[in-house]
Amino acid sequence: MDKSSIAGSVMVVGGGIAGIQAALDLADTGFYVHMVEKSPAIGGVMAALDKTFPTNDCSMCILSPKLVECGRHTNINLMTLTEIESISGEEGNFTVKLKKHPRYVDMDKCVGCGVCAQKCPKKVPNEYNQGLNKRKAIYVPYAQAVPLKYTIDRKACIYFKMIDAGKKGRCNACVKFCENDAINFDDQEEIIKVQVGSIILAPGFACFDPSIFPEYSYQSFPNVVTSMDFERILGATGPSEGHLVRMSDHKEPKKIAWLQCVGSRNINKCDRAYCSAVCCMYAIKEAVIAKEHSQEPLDAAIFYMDMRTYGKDFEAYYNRAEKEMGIRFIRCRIHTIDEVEDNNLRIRYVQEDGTVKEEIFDMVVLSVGLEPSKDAIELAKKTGIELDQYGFARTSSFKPVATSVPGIYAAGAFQGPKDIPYSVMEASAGAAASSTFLAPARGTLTKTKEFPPERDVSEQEPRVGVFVCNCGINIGGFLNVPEVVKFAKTLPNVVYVEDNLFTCSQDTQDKMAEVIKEQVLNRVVVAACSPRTHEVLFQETMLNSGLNKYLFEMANIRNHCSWVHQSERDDATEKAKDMVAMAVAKVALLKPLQPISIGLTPGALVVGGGVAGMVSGLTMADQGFKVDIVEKKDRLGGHALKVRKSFKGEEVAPYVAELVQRVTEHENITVHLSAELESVHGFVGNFESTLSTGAKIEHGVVVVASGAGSSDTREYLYGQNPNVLKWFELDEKIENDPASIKAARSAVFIQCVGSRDDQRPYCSKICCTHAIKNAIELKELNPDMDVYVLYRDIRTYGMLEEIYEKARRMGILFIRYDLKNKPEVKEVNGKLEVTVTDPILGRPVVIEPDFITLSTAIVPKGTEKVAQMLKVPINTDKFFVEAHAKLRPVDFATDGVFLCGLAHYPKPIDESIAQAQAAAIRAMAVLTQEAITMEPIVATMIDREACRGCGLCVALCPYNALDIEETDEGRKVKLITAACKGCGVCAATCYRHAITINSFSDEQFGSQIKARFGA
Amino acid sequence: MEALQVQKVKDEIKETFKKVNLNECLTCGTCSSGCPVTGIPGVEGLDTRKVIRMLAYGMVDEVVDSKFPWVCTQCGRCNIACPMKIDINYLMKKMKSLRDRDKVPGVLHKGTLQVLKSGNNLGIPKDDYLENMIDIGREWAGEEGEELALEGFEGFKTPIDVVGAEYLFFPNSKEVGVDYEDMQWWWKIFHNSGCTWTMPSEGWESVDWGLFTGNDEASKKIAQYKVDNAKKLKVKYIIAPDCGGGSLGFRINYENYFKEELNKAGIELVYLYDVLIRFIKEGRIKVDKSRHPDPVTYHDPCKHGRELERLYGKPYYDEARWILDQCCESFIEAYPCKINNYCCGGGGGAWAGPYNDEKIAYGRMKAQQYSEAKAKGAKVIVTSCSNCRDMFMKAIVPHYKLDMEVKYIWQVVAEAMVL
Repeated sequence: MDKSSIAGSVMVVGGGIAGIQAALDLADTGFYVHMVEKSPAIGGVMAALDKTFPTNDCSMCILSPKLVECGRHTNINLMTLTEIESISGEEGNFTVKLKKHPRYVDMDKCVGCGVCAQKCPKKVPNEYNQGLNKRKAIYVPYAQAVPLKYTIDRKACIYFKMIDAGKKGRCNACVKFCENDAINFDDQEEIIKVQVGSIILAPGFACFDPSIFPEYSYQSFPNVVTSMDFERILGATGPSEGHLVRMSDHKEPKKIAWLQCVGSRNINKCDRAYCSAVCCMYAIKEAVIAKEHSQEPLDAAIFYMDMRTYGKDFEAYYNRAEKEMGIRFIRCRIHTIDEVEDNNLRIRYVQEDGTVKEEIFDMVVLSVGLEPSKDAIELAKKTGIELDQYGFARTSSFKPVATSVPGIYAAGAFQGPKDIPYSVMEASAGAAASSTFLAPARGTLTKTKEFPPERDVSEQEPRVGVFVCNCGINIGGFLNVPEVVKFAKTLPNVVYVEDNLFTCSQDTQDKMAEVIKEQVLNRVVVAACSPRTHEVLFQETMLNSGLNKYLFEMANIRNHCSWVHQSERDDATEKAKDMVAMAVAKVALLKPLQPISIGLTPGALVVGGGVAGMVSGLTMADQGFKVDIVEKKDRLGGHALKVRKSFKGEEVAPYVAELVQRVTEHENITVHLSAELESVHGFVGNFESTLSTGAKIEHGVVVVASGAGSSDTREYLYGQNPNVLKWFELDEKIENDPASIKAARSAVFIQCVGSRDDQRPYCSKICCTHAIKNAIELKELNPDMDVYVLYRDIRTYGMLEEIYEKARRMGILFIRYDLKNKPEVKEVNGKLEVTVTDPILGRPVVIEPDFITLSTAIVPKGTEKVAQMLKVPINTDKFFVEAHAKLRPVDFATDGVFLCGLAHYPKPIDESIAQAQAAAIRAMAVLTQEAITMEPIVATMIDREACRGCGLCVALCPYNALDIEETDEGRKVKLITAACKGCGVCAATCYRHAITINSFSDEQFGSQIKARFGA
Repeated sequence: MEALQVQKVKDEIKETFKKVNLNECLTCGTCSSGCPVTGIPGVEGLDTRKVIRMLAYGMVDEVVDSKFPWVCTQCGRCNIACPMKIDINYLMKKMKSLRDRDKVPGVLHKGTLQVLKSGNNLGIPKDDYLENMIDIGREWAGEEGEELALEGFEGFKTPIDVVGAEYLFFPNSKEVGVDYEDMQWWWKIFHNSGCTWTMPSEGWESVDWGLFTGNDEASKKIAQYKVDNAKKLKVKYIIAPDCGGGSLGFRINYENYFKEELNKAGIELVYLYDVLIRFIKEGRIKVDKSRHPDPVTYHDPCKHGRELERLYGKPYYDEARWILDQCCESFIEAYPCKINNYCCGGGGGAWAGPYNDEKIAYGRMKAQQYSEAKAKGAKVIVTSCSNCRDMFMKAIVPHYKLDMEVKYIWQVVAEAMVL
């Protein structure tokens, strides 16, 4: 294709978290994005979740900034109520025909005031709340919806019902009451054509409908709910406004059961053989949150088959839930739910030893699985991509986001059930993969953001506006917001105060910009949540209203008041008032600052030459950036050299060989073998690293892909008997000595060797799959062989469940053991003998295998050294810690440093590849910038004369951002502003008060202390 | 405890395991959680999951030698919920079939042989049968004196081998031989409906003893008797026996072997519910609710409900409730019901089998169900299978002191009839 005909734009289909992430990544790397969402607003399922595991973050709180960013990004064209009609063309130049459904509300005129919905007489079940309450026929899907524009539901609207019945339309309540004349009954369906270079499909999933199981009576028993219903019951904007009540009598339940695998791992009455990958974790989370919500000591029980807490920090979450929160985990699948008196629910279950128990619960939550949505299947038909047997997008392990059609990519739960972090990773991977071909057209269609000129307020008296957020009921439910508002009005310099249901919602933000102008505010305080998630959003509103964004202060009255003092309403209110007073005092003293802009080196350093390192390197190099890959060993390939096949059966070695060849021959890549990182200096955009080989490299970003290894063990006669193997040694044996496999009569696999124990509490995630894959291969090579897998929980999550089912079908016998009752391996007359107790029969089983394979743990190696050099954190298990477990899975908190592969956490090859692609695009969001723009909240010399050049600050600076220079006035400290993180150690150290931190001066701190404690 | 060695199983059994998905078992416990046998004394601590696990280890002989498959009533409750769709019911029948015939518990195998030999399991000779049936008919019709006459039997003659009759009805040997008065209700309904009907003179047994003992060959032969009778008598409809096992056994063989030939002969298989509903709807019989002022509850026989739904997609749940609604003033549901209902404890041959204590223990689930319904006001348990009815009337109600009446659904209809 002629490069000039490549379009510099991408279409993202689906406005859930995956679509949002893909759109933002592309828009931030020089591509124009058309985002298509079939419903009236973006946000997807995540917008309806209450909290998220394993951090218990409020889902809306972390999602909302992204929604808003997406909604107002200059390079994202958001098209709601829009669906794909057809696609023509090819990679680089697709023509997409879109159908835009009428909203019947003029988006330019609607301000989202909600009067129309107040006056609308027609109530219908509210989908956002799972039909547990009602909405109006004119509505927004949820309070923080982006765009916050009302929509008329034609099927429900009284006016349209009459029109559609051929009568004259009556009602018109919305028309009458809308002050902006925004209602447009004449709105028509439109067909739109858009040219794009590639397409990312992220239409998400549907929740399994449990109505098909008569034994669970979901339709007829009011207190049997789905997990999605329960999310809404917990949610602040849900049917009970966040109060945990059951539906039959609105009383608080004292005893709740969760039933796992409803519509997952089930081929009876439904074709859902796969595992839905997220339900174990969300059930634990729901139980944990329910216990927190509950005034009563809530009894929470989770009925399950295998507890699949396979992800990063999941096992710790599970352990905490069981041991600290007292959540009961009962290994049994439930046959029937019986309704008894008071709409209570009786569950009869059998314990592993065969004894029967009966319990009465107030509520039962069905942990429903994930399935492809009908719309997504339709979409696949229109785009011509292949689906798997269930209707999920078919991809390969080595191209985890590429569909069967070149130029069309799939991300998120459309590709298979998965959790939010992995959806986000895949979305970024999709962005990376979809933009590689389009790289020559980067920047050809993007626009730049224009802000109104900044008002000079330096000579003005402070005029402070205070905005107090209710955060739904997150804040408003636990402290007295009106009293805080009243109090704020009394504070010096304050000229305007208001409270908002959600200050962060787009309508409030637009309104805030107006208020700033109308009231001629020159300082703003928002009393809401954490500046970590929301400051940037509010600052942009400042810019939009012509104010310098540093004339802004936040009081975190949610985390610090309503969350931590939930049962002390009065004290929480007092504390909130104090915090607002302190913020107001400080904001008056803030000075306008200008961002610092520095040039950058458009190259990347990749630490680690395994699959993740090579893929991330290639992704960047293919888009024209210079890449240096540093590998400790004398060859590329890393951990993948030990792995023979992916779970889908693809051969790994040829893939790795191809990667190595491409990396080695790539004009933009330099490989440093037998080399280690010795030191790193600098900061985002301008790093300088030294390798053990002596090489010095200048680069703008770092991608950490330092990999992991296999743990050592002395258990189960490993090292004493040659027929006890580690998992990769069996791979070698199958490869090099197939005759011995064919001759063997019996083989045993032992799982969790060195994982999920006191010493190493995490799950190594890939061992179940790997062992089962090899067990199947043994059985294929030698069908007469008896193969046993001794396990604790089988964790073949998602589609991996297919191979577990296949293995069982082949007659491989799975025997569960407990940590308290591990298998015993003995040598009897030179022969191996394994004894394990079958938990169902309660009897020891004796097996005499020819060989035993141990699934030893995956352990991080050398992360501490890299962590120190890059000043990035590692967790107690020594894996690197990403910036945010949920929404920033490949970023470090340190700018310009990214993470992928096994060094993040054990994972199969497809996930490593997706993560590597994701890290690459995140890195390219830096590399594609013309300059690095930095926060001006850095050290500044306020009194150069006072500086004596003592060097104390230089010695203590953790970022090497200070130096001593000889000047005409003697020894003085020199500031290397670009390296400064604004931590304030220097300012605190300087007894001469020569250095301060912008926006954190002594005077400003002093004013806050005075505001709290008086002069 | 004694260690267990994994055993190899014979190819034939392996095939069965494959057919029923046995290897797919996740040991999740759904089957045992839903099974009334779980936790009862006298079954060596076995439950369904344990049995399946034993089979997975190849312990076929142990299972075949155990009491479990004979205490299992093949109610199919496990089947409907097993996430791996293991056909446990079939598996249990197979386990029964592997028991040496001389070791089949109680009278079950003897009964089977008797059916095959004489056409009924009690071995009632043809002459005795004919004489008894005709005599009873005469008595009830009042031909033997007023004191023996029953209401609604005016002009009644027992129809045996009536060629060209509309309906072919199979009696239960228990009624023919012992509880003959239990036949009055059906006879009354038929007699007053104005339809033509008949019972066969030979091979009339309604119960399928082959099904009870895992003897497919016998089961097929018993079905063959019914088919032969239908063809010989040129009837329009065969009424599937009320006996759950009898009807299901016949249905299975009908679907597997006889459907086509009966279709060709213009003979249709109907269920007792179809007949009762037709009679009421077409006004052939008239019923009066006020004859049954006491609230009734209903027990869904597994083999007219859940098993029919599972195997052939069409259960009889709502039909029974509709009939009761015509005949009774008040109905109280006993939960769980319909597809989730618990078996009476006498299914799959268990009622005729020798394990009485186990049967009674099994019935605790029913006792719980009906004491809950009773608390809501129910006074009568209605059902539509002779096994279920005997279990309630003779075992569960007296043992658990439920103090409730037990009736057949056709009894309810007959009693509600306005003549």
